[in-house]
Amino acid sequence: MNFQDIIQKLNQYWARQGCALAQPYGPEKASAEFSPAVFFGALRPGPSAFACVEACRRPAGPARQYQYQVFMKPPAPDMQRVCAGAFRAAGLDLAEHDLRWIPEDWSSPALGASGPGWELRLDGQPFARFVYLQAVASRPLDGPAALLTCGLERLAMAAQGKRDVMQLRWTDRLTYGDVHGGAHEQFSRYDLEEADAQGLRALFSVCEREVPRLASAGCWLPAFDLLLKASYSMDLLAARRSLSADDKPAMVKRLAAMAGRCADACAAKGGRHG
Amino acid sequence: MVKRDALLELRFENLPAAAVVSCCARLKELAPGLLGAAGLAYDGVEAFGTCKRLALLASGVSSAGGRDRAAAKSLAAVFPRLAASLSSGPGMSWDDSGLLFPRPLRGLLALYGDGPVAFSLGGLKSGRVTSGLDALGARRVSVTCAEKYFAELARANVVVKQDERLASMRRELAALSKRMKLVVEPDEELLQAHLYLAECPVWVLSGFSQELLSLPRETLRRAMKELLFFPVTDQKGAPQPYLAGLRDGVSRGQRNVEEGFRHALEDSLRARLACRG
Repeated sequence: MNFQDIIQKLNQYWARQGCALAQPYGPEKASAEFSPAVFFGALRPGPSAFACVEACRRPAGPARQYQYQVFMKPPAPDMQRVCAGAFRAAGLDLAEHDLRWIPEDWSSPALGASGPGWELRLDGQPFARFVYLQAVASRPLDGPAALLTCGLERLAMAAQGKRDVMQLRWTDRLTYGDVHGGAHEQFSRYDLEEADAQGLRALFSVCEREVPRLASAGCWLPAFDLLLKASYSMDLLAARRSLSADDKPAMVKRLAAMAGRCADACAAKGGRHG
Repeated sequence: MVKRDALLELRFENLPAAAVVSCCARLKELAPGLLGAAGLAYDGVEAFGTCKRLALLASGVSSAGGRDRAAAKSLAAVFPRLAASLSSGPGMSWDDSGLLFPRPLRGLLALYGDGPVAFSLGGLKSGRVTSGLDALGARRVSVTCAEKYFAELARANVVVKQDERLASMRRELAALSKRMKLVVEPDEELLQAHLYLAECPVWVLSGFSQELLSLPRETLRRAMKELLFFPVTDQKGAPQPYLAGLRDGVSRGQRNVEEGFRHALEDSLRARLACRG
């Protein structure tokens, strides 16, 4: 199954489970867990269910990583079995591989998000995470929510038997390298050598200043976008080795404070956008 | 007097190892008192666990009057109390049942001899059906009687008793070392970790690039441990470019798993090599 067929099969599968098929969200993020749909979907009262592909940027990692994300509140009945069904739908024969669910207590300190779950390893390599979210922005949720984040490249490499991501069949005519060739070298150079550390620190501060103002004005969604930019700036600074051992924890606390302001503003309006 | 075994299985989404150990201890601790209070005599009580299920076996159970139906009726009151007692420790919620367990509860099996013990908990109803090994599709297993539970699960590739799983892992590890004429280091901590990560642990041997042996021994060991792999040395203790790991399942697609393990370790070691400059 080629890469885009895998995405289509996953979309069909999760649509059958009742998920809305969302589209990737714009601002850079290192991980799909930073999607505003997850953050606010978890905080707002009432049910929510969506699935989408997110193009994530991990500084100093591959130029782009596609993560398939599913958020369900409440979770589907027997959610773990449903997730295993999704991997099968994507072409993975689980009897031909070793899929392990390694229990963990997951948390994202920057988002104040946490919950018990598992790191999923496929043939020894981490490829997905499944969490039963219990809190977001350090606030307990009004009901359980399930969050699955799956690395599409890893899934496709196992399904296609490829070692080199660039050799993945994106379509029956084009490879992953045909679609994304050259990007990795440029973005690695930017991340590790060219990114302006001073500018990134300034951007972080601007975002930090603007988030409370926007949140107070009822614009918590644009405020969250700025939180994403601040978070990504921090990741780039880390890749440039411009953060001391104390800098990063301090910046994470500042991000958590921004997340708290966004959550408060959302809650003040009962989670309604208008 | 009729004596039959009584079996309670609680099936979960994958449990942390510490939860399996503490829940088994709690079941074994509470069961005698609850059985006795219900007027049930028994020969012995044992609790077993895997990452997916907890099983309590009360062997040679009989009621005071010696009647099957009375024993089954008493067990229908004892079993849910035992199960609910595990909900008093640290746990999570996953639906609106109000139950808190370390991970979601997904199935209940309860038998007295060959008869089902009927009760409900958290919206689940007990029966005689459970699931086999996840890797083989978690196929439905209908258990004929409590006395045959372990054998029937074994035929479904699930080794429920932790002592048996550990003994099998050690036996196969020794056989692997002998076959290779090398030494797979039997790290106790890793063996215990794997004990509660697989219901059917099967050894996998793989190699990695010889150049990576240039890394300090402690770096190699740490990288392997993070990936749950066992280092391999020769008879004199010199590290060898091999790793041993465990998979959960039968040996179909063994090559996929060997390759995956190798790539996982090589990626990790190359990242460490790059950091050293």
